[in-house]
Amino acid sequence: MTSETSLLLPFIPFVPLVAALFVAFAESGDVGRKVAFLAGTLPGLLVGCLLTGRLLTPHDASPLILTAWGGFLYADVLSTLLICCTFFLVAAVGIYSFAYIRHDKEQGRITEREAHLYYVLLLTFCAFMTWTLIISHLFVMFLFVEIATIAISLLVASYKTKYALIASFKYNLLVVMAMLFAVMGSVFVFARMIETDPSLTRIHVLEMGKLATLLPMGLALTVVACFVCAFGTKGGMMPFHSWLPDAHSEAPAPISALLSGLVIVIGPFGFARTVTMFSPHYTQVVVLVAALASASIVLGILIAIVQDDLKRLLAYSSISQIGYVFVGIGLGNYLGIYGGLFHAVTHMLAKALLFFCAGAIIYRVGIRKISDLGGLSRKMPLTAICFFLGALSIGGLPFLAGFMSKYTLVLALAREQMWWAMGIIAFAGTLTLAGLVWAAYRVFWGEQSAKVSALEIGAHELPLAMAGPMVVMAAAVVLLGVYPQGLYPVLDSGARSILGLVAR
Amino acid sequence: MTLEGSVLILALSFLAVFFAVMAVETRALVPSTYWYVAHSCCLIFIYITYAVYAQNPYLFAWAGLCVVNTWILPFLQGGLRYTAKRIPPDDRATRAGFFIFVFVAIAAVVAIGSLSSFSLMVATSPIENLDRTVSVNLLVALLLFIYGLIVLLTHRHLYKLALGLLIMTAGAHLTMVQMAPSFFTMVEIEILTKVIGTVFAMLYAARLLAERFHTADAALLLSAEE
Repeated sequence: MTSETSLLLPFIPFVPLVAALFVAFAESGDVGRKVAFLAGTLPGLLVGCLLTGRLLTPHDASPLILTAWGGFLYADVLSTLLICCTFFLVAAVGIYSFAYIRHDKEQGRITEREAHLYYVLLLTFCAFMTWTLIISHLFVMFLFVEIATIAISLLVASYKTKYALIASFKYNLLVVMAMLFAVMGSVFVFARMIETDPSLTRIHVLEMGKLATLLPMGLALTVVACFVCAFGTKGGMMPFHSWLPDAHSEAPAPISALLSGLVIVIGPFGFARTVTMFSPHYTQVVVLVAALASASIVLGILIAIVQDDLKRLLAYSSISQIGYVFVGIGLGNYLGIYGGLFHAVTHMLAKALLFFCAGAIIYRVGIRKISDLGGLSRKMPLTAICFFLGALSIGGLPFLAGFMSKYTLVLALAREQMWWAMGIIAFAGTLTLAGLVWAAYRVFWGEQSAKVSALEIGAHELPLAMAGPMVVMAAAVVLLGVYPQGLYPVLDSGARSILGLVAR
Repeated sequence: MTLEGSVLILALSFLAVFFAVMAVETRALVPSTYWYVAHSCCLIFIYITYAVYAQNPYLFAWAGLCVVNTWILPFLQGGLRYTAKRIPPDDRATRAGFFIFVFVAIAAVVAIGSLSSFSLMVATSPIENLDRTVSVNLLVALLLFIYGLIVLLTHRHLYKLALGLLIMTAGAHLTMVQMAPSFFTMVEIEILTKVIGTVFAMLYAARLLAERFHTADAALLLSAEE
């Protein structure tokens, strides 16, 4: 690995943090808040793209990493790719929320003060999510995950209803508990490290690959179990998923998009930094992760298709989809990691799109029960098209983003000769396509319900602030479907940077 | 580490487990808070003992930070005692959790005893010795972690769940002190974040729910009408 120093790297997380402080303490009005929000997210996206461009290397070259503050901060392509995803999605969620949260305020679901806090928390989450992605100290990474969790749990509780408060409590409890397992795993690793070098005071993320080879087998598997528990919970993998459906369904729709598209990706990210380092040395790790992820894929979609609540259906579908990412990252080979990263990106786009559409339905109709909806396509054609595109992409239909990522994962499993996992993925893929398209049909093309018939929609189906992010996401889903090689340089460098950390 | 120091730590660790069990199993919440304070005080003494006997000055700072657990968390507005006075007590205490813990503890002692021998001494190189001797102190620290986990899995009262998380955290930190005492960096901030951020957020949610639905029992809350 070649490393270079970057002056821009520490700049990224401070931008949203400063914006959060500005929104929190400056008595800015609605416009000031919006400007501060955009100023806090768009420069981060720009810098993230610049750094990603700087880190791209040819396929046969050594991966490059950026460091800052004497190695305390670092970034490889995985980090910068997720930084771009973070700022992109947070910006989209924020813009969507301009109209959505205003509507909630008008409906009396939240107060002006709570709306103010909403943006502060969103920016705080963005800042600490970025810290999580670029910090090299493993223990501090857990700390930042916890702070981001607190911000998100407060956002989940935005409506302060019974279920929202319980979901927030549960999310906080389970994720912090999971992080304790990660701490325990790190302690076991550290205890081994100080035997060889007593002067050590921290675990550097980049050294995890080397450390994986130093541990005796029993201890290595215990450490892996701790990390699987920790990042499996954060990522919503079965059987650690119980926080996910409640949090997704009780949070405001834009926050559900954030949870599903980004927050759960921290799980696979943590996997890539820890568990993947053990995969090449222990086949048990690969089998364990593949088994848990396959269970997640199948059970997630089986539970999803029987849901009558649109947001719960999407939440369970996320449990299923994140299983694909875990399978890829857990395999620990080039194609698996490539496919896993690709699916993380395509799922982020498609699922955010679906949650935005669910939010649009709630915004207009006020209900999210599928059996109470029907025939909505005539009243909300844009939402119907966007939802259908998202559902087909998640289902893995060719020429949409989800197809190529799933196909890559199937190839990766074939290379490892894990035929049973391939079978499960193929079966679950069919179910996903059928389940989501059936849900889309019932919501948009089924018999028009009384509530939908009575619906009066003016000249515009949705405010521009809501329609804009939806159209952008839908366009990205189509673009990545017809031109998947556009992401190749980034995903290739990302996969190689992870593999570069694995000690052979 | 001398035998004297090891025995002192062992006694304090057992006391910490005892106080943790009392904090969870006591139905009235205010006394439960005081049991938790006693448990946290034990942790402070354990860290100080380690600092003195293992000559590790970092642990004095660590002990100092435990003031958060013994003073700020229980007695600050919005903290444990404040919440305990405002939410209904745990009238459906889950005794099953306690018995599961006792069973797990006995099973762990029997299993480890049959595979290797116990050592009263605090191991200086725990991983190296793990296959031959197991430090009793390390076992107690791990049991504290497991007890916290069992509380989270078996209890339904929101206040007790927050206590379970704190006990689990204490178990993790005690294990850390045993196995990697120099792993100090940022731990202090981690304690502050977890306690002040997470637990205060959880207690706030518990108070809001109890205020509206007159219960802090998760099962009753789910059946209560909005």
